[in-house]
Amino acid sequence: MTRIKYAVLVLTIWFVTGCSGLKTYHSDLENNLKITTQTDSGSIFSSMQAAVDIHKVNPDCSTEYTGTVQLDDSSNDIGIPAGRSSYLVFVFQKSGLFSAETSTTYNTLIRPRNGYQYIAEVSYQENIYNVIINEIDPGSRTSREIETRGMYACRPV
Amino acid sequence: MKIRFVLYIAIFSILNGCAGHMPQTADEFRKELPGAFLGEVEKFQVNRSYADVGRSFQKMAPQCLDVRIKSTSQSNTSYSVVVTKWNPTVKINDQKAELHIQQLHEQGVLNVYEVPEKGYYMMVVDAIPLGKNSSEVVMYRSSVGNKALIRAIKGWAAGEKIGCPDLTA
Repeated sequence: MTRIKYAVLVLTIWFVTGCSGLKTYHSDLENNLKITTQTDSGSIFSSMQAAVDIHKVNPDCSTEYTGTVQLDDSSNDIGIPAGRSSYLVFVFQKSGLFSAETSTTYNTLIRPRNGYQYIAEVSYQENIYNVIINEIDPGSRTSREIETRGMYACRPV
Repeated sequence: MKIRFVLYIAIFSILNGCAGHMPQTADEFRKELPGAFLGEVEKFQVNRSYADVGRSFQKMAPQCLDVRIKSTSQSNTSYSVVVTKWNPTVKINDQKAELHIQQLHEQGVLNVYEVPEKGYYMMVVDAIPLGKNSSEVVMYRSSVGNKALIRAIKGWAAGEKIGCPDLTA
């Protein structure tokens, strides 16, 4: 294969596989976050797709994108690192037959505790979206809602 | 977005004739909106103190309304991009809690009138104490559009976990 053909092949693969910039989130960690999703675009002529982008938060509060989980109308279980902050960006993307494609996001910092489980209820209905995250104590099994906080709440360490 | 903005300009243009004025402060907005075309003042009561209503605004407004929206439209002959920054402001004093919502058009819109620092006022909401645990909420807004935004603000005022309005809808 000539050098030019090889370059074209590499470029083609790069365009097909990675051009969108999105990659599927993968983690070897034990699942500690269950995400349940309910979406309704509000019209038979449009559809709604929800996803969550997971970003690692560095000590200086800069972020690194680690991957995306597509959320279907059921539940998804993923593992995110405990004892350190992650930045979750929930993306609601709407596309329609007679309307432009739009997307809106809901962002929050989360710092899971070791051994605790988390449940995120994600919804988009009648043009209102919501993300409620509850933390479940492994001992008492009691649940408490975590206040969502944007990156403004991050403090460099 | 473009339609919403044109409508907004129309409301105040008709109100002011050709005087070429848009409200520059929340007080001006409150005074001028009631007589404006498609201007509406809505009042309702909630069973919460005005300070609690204000705290809900303080929690939800930055999370939901401090956003930048880019919208594109394309036809065979044209292509346009409008970038709008939404700027919420919450104020609480010993008399009331206020939520101001302003839109600053950063790209794609020719601002004919003088633009306030954070953009044109599109809604002002006041929570005024009626009793220890009750308040009157007054919304100064357009009578058309922004249904999700209005519903969300009413939910925040009532202390419901309603979430954020999709401002792109």
